[in-house]
Amino acid sequence: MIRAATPKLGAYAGLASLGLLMALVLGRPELVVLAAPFALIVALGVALAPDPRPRLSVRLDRQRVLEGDEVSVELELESERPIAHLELLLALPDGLELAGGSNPVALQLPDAEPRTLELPLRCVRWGGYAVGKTTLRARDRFGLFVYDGELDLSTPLKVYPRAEALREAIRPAETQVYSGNQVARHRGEGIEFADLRPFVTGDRMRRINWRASARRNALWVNEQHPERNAEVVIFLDSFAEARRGESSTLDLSVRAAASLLAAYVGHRDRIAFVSFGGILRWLVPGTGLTQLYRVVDSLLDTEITLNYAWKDVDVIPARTLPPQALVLAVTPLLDERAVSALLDLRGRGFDLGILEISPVPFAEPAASESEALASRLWLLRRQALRARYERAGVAVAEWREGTPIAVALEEVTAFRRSARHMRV
Amino acid sequence: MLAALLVAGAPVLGAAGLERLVGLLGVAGLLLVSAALAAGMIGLLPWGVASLGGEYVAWLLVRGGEVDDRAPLYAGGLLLVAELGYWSLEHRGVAVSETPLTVRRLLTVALAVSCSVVLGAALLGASAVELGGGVVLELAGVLGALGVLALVTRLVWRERREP
Repeated sequence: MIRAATPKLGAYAGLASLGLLMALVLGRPELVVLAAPFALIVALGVALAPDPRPRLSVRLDRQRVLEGDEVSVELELESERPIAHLELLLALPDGLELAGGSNPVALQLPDAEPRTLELPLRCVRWGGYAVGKTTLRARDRFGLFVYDGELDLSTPLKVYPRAEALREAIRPAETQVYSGNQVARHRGEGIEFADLRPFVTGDRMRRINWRASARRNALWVNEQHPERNAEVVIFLDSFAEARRGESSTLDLSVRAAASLLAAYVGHRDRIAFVSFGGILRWLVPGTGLTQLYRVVDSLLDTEITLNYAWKDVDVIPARTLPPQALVLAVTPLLDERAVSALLDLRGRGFDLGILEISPVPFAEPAASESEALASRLWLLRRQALRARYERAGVAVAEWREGTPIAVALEEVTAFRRSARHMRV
Repeated sequence: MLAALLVAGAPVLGAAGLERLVGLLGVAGLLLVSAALAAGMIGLLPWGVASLGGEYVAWLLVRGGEVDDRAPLYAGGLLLVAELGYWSLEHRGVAVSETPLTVRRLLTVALAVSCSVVLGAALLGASAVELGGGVVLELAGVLGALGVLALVTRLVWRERREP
């Protein structure tokens, strides 16, 4: 720890010197009496100044929590020598806040026994954090010296976004060959009834529909849709965000993406992830909880990185975008690069759906007539952009904070159900 | 502030004529201490304490005569003003102090003030002892005082330069 004298040391030394000098000049012993306590405190303080060497350890009760949960940080302090006054400040990253206790706190370490402090933290925002950077300041008994030190005992803490439980996710147009929970469009062995057809040699007896056969005086068999899995690519636009205070479109995007990921993993689908922005991140498709955690970990690293380079879908590795995959874009539709890339994906024949994270609530209200006009023009441009996607057969649903994601997804599903499946 | 008010008011209490004028120094000291506490300007506090001490010195000079027996109490009062002032200014930090720490500091201040009163009384008692006087004794006193000054200055200088 770095030792430094406080202003009190200079002041006391100055008062003592002044008193003694005046006593010499004026020849009054009372002035010696006035100066003596200050001189004595300075002498004792300098002579008895300790060299505090506190040791600190930081522990978290959990290293993975959900947004809004509380986590307890345990700080264990120990010192070989007693410390009369020790101030401790645990640096809290943005997104974590104190849920109780005091930070910073001033305490004493009277003997060699360790002291344990518990600080409950509330995880306000999703993200990856390092908790444990601590600033220590010790003072001697007379307050003449301070000892400053910083300890970086960072422990990783992952705060996952709180996902909304979705009963139904958007059904992909095409399914893959492996078994899953999605009802395939083609016919084969399955549970869901598809159609009737005349019996042909080789058909199994159990597939004969006896009621239909009796009506038609010929053997008819049932056809079923098989249950298959799908490949879903979550396409997160991280080029730009609209922010107001602590909330931003990126936060909402990450929450929506986490909800969609959890829903598709629940349906045993293969999920891939692309964070398309200033920094491109991707994960090839996979299935199961391991893949979910892998993708969510990747989500936590998502941030807006300013980048002027023009990027299109060619920069995304081909394995990340398998053919016949459903691409679900979560985007505020603010950056021209993301807008073009999505149209490009549709042009390449991908089954595309867009969950638009509306930036409108984040815009400042218009203060003047010209600002109101600009705002209306902006809204009209956004409307035109949505219409452009819809003409290309892409469903766009707007989602705002406070409404369930399921409502927006239902809009997408309804559009896909009624709209002609287009090839552009 | 209460301690500063008592220290400032004590010399002029019941004073008359010129002795009242020294109260101006006390008022200046009070203003400096209150400004230091109100504005959090730690640099003003020693000037305030010095002004309060100056008031007492001026009162001694105006009064003249014998050694004042109340000097140890003034010394204790001045130390109390200084200690409580620095404590108040340090406490403005955002750190919340635990109760045992506050109690311990309170005891330390009380002990320091008591010791200063006892030390002052001992010094006054020592000054009253008749040693016969002479140039050699006078010189020894001056050298002793200068030595203490030099020692304190050196210690402080070293600490400030080599943290």
